[in-house]
Amino acid sequence: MKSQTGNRSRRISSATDRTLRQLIKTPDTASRIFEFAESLYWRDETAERMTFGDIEQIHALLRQTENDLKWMKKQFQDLAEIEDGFRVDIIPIGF
Amino acid sequence: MTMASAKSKTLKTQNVNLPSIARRLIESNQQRQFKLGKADIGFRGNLEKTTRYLRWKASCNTVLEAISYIAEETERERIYALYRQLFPKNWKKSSASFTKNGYNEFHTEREFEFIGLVSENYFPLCTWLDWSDFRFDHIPIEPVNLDLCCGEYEWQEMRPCLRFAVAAFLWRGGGIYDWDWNEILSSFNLQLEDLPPISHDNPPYRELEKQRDNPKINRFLHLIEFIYHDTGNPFIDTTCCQPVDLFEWTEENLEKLKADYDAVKAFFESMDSIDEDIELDAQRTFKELISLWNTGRLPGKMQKEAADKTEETAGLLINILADSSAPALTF
Repeated sequence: MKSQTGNRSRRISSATDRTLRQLIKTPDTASRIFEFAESLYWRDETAERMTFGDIEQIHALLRQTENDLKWMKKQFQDLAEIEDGFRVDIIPIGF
Repeated sequence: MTMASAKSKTLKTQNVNLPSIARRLIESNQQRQFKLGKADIGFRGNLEKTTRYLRWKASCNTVLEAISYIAEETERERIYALYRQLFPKNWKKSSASFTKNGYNEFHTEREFEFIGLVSENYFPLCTWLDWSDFRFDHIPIEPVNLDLCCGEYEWQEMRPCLRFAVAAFLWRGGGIYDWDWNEILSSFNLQLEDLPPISHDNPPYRELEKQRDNPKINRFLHLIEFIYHDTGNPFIDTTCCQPVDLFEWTEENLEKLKADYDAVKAFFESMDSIDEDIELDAQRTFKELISLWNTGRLPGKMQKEAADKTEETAGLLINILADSSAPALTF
């Protein structure tokens, strides 16, 4: 029979792994946002102008990304609680 | 957070679908990078460009900052889209740049051109604001009224009807000293005793509203609404203490604000009319305003009503007498 402490420890490590596996994919999101920002920075006089429809779509994307970031940040904080001492402030997620 | 909730939630950010315009811009940026080596702008030009880029990169080094930058640029695009929609001919022939020039880091030359066109064709956009110092995400309203709540004004600087109305109906009873009140009245060659007492209650607005067709009552209501910043018109009501709704840069809002700005004229016409009457006979005009404030009726009407009432009472008295006496008295 396994000890309760062992089960708890395995559960924590499993949750941590899962969350970290998910978080590790977030640079894709971040890099796409950075790429888009940079393409706006380098636009020149001949660049394609946006329609009102484009603007609304971009706003929707930004709102979604912001919400996701908030959720990720919360997940980090929750992880820090589980791991006790996990340095959420130095994790390079970009917020 | 419990372990159960940690298990049940999943991140949603794994498949971000950029809108097609964003994808096209990214693609053209990648092509630009490919051609970059061929551009001949000299060492100094390259250095300046690189420094500018690094400065931008440093200010945009987190996702949230990048989001904020994209949002700002998208708002700029909204202005351009609005420009194209409202002034298509001007847009077509415009040669104003889409870049920010040296002294202005918040608006491009093309945006400034649009701001100028709105001021010419819709309503004047805040002239006292430094557009080179701040970016307006919403349409800035320039109030035409005085900030009578918190602003410090010398009554001598106000136009006659405001000088009287502010002291009589807004400030009186709320901290104005009789000394000031006497001073104000003496500027019209009047004494405190020359005017009837002013009620401390609000005027009977409901009754006054019913008579808005009467020009004298309408101009009184305009005056009171103006000093109380209670017109429903953002150009009159906006103050530091009473900010109005923020208006996004849309055609509907520009049309609405144009109509509001045109409606401001009526308030000033009312005040012009009162000022003209004050110049002719200040005492009579003030009595009229006080009577409307106290009773909701014009002085002449009150006298007529009083006279009618006396006549009715007299008729009643005669009828009572007629009932009581044997020979009938007829009129």
